Amino acid sequence: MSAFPPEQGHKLAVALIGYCAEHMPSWNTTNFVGYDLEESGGNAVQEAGMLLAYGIELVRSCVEAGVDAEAALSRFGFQIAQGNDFFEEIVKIRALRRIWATTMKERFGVNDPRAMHVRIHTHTSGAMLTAEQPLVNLVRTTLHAFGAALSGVQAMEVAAYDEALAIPTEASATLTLRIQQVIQEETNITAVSDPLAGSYFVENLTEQMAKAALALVEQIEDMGGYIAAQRQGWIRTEIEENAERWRDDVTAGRRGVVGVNRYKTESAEEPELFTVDEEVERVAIERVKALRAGRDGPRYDAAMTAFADAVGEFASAAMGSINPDKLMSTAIAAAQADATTGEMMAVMKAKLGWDAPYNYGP
Amino acid sequence: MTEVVRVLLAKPTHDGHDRGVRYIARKFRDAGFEVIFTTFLLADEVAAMAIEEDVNVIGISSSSHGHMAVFEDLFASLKKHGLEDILVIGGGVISGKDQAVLKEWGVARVFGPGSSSEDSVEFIRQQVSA
Repeated sequence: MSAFPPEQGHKLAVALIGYCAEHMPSWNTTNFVGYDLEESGGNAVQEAGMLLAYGIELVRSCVEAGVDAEAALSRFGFQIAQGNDFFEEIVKIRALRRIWATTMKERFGVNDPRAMHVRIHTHTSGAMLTAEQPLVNLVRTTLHAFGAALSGVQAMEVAAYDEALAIPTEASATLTLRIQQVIQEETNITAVSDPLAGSYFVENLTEQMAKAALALVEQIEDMGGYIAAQRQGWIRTEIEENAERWRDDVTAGRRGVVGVNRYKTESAEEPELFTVDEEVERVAIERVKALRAGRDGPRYDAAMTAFADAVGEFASAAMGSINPDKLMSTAIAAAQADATTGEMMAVMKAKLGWDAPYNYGP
Repeated sequence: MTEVVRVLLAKPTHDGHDRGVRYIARKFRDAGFEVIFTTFLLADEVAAMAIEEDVNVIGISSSSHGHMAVFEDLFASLKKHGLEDILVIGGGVISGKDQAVLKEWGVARVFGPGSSSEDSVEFIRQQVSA
């Protein structure tokens, strides 16, 4: 889940959890971004199953690195997508909560409810929004937000109707907030927890979703776990194949998308779009220049040398022998010596490796 | 055309929205192109990779803005290395206003939302064999 090589990115995640468990126990360490899996083209089963498979891998590695499973698990958060298939997206959340809790309890013996809870921030889908007839996206995002509310998520962010055209304007971003506020203030659906419970359809579909996601987890475990599956390119290929299938279905008209392959209209003018003021870039550059000119040179050099040594040591350490304290304390010292994120990332990219170009063939 | 068309598809800047460009990568591959895909590089690094991989085509995908600076730097870098003959195309979320400017700069075509993969394959075949 990072542009570092899978094993190194995974070690970094464990190091952060280990450090925080010791020094910053109230910090929420890890955001499980199922959103990226679904937005990249994955379906609901893949989002739930792959998230859980990575969760198992991460907690297993935490334990290997000497971190308490309960401490690690109770500081996880989840960013989940809410896409078009209304009930499928709702049962994805219901199923994920169930299989996450039972799996973590069974595998790692946790008992604290906080260590089994899937605390969700929903981000409504951007990939489902269309450049054609952009105002129609308001209807789509309202349905996404409505579904997320029925699923009882803890927080949400709604995508803006002009996202397929540009970065949102202030006006379109405000509307995303209003959608949530109307649901929260005017519909009264937030007064009840799990309002769809007991519906034969929802319960049955939840059961099917849970089974399918657990089968996927088992398949990934048989490959050696999530990181091994990622290393083999299996995760990426599965997601891409599904994305291709989806797009081909739209192109061929097998899957209806209003404004794209149904109820098309002659192209209208572009709405007013957000543009970035070039002054913003100039100010940011000046700020970095001033920081570099004003910092204590010898202190910066010493801190960066210590950080580079720690990253180098970390790069070759096995999971069971990583030293989160050394890595994090040297990183913090470098930041306190006014090292920029870019300068520190350059060290990490050089020592840990970086996403290699991917050759699609033929 | 006797040689295999070599395409570098890049997603520069801090932009992870690669669903569309990866879809295109698969379609280009299926059309018989050699496809190299990269993310998170600077325009200069994209140009360097274009040289290393000896490509005929560079495709820049943009979904989070910042593409004007990327194209500006990329063209400067290609010019510096005498690579003005490489076909440069764009894709993703690029406004009509930006597209008009990019055309003047030498971007052969921008394939935005609603474009078909067949069109882009056909366009590259025509341009590269011409």
